[in-house]
Amino acid sequence: MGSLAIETEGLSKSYGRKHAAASVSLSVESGTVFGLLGPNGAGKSTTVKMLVGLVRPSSGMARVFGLPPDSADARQRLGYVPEQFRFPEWLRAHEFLRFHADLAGVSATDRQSEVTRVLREVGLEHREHDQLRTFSKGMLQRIGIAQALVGRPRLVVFDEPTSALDPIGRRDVRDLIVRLRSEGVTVLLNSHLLSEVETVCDHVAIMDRGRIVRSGSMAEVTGGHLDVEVRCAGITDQLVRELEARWSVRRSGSDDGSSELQILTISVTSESEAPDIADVLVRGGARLLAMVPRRRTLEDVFLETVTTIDGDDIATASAPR
Amino acid sequence: MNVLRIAVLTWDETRRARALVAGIALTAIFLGFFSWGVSAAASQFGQARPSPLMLLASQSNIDFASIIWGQVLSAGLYGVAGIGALLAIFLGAPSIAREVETGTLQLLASRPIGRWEIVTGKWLGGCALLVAYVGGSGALACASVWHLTGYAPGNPVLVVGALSIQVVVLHSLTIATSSVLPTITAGIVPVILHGIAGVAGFGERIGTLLESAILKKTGIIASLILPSDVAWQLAASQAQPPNPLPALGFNAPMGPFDVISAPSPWIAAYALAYALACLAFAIWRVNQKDL
Repeated sequence: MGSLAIETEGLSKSYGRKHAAASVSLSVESGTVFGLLGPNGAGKSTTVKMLVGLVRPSSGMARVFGLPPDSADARQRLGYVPEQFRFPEWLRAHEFLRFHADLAGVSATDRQSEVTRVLREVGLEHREHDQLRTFSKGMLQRIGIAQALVGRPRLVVFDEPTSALDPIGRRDVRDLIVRLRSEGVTVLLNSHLLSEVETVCDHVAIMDRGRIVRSGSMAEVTGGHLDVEVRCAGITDQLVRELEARWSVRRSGSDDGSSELQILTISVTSESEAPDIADVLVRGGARLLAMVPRRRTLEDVFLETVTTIDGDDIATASAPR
Repeated sequence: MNVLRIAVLTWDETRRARALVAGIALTAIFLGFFSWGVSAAASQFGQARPSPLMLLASQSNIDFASIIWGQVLSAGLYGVAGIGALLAIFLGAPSIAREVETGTLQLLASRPIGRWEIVTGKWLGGCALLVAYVGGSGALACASVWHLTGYAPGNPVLVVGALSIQVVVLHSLTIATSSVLPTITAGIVPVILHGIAGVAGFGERIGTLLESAILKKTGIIASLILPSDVAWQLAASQAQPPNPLPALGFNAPMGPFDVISAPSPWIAAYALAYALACLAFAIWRVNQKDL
């Protein structure tokens, strides 16, 4: 268990009678990638802004590396990519990054090498001397990410970092997030792209109407189990009973009308159990045609979570940490 | 240090956005016309038949030429002050409001930098630019009149200083409005207030002529609410020679730009305190703001 990069307890923000965030409690361990999900208006951006010190909480506590988020020391350790902001487009890429390097406290001697490094990180080293007004939307998003990396922050907060990127750009950002994690950097990722979150995040929290309605490790949130779909012929009742002794088995007929072909859906806790299933089937005399592991996707969980919880449920929903 | 970084960025933005180039080019055209006019007036002065007023002045040992050139210089400075006032408002209105609207301020505020440093840096950068503008333009107007007519105000530095106070006051007020209002409204409010202060200043001068206490009081109150016009009056009073007419028994202004009674130098201190109060308000407001 590492130290906590982010910790909130009962963090709330109200605008008049509207609760943008209600009693948000989170713990994000250092060196992990944490995904914050939720439909539009769920309170994700408000929560993120409270964590980077841009919005003052109405109540509750927030700490970034044990420090108040609006303190200079906390911000020294933080890089932030806002969802929407306009660049001073009259600046050249290296001027923009130098300016942020200065603000981030990078020394004058390291400044140029830092600018070169972050430009390389986002694949824009060849545009160093170009004015930002000549950049495409995707390039501007990349330069926004580059500014967040200036000064080697220990926590990088991405607010919808890939919304303007093409598939290659998205893959680059995913790779970057994985690279940051491998360097011990904590990443908070606020994204609508569930497949992206599922690919890179260690932990997720799903917000709806200001509250965290589900959170945990990716495995916990997606149910912690796999379904293995088995297509085989020559299945006997005895064989099915043998499988049911170890796993939960659902049996369905063949999809081509053949009485010979059977489809079994077997729940396992890990993919490493798949060879055991194959072994039981083959030993029992069945002909194994295909085995396909199917994980419950984050999208399944997300849709299930945000569509089944109505107003009353939210009031009583727990805010797991 | 961060204050200076933001100030330099503000200066740079104005320079690269070509606002400064456009402002300088148009001011150069204005000063060109002004100098051409002064030159034409100077060549005709003394050739025309003396008016009864000139003869009276001559008989009373009054330097009539100084009065005329003082008025001409004030006209040029009035133009510089007017352009400077508009620039002060146009530069100040978007400085916070637009940056919040576009998310640029959020990016800066997430850095290890105090919000007070952002606001103060923007204020400082804008004020430095405006002071350089009115200082340069005012000095050129003074130099042009001196070169073409031989007339120079008693203390040109005070003239330029008073003009600078005017733009600093207006810029500070606009930054304060920009911290609470959307961009366009943040610009409209100071324009209207400056207009009211100008009209009230005229009212005060008329009140002095007519010895109307209520008009004078209205002007003084307006000067306290927004000391921009009174800063201009201070500049104009420094640009002109002392009015000799009251000594001759005429309680009359020397011309359309005469301020009749020069504002107290303390008004300069009040105006600067006013500007700092506006800055303090803007800092407080931005500190309170959810970005």
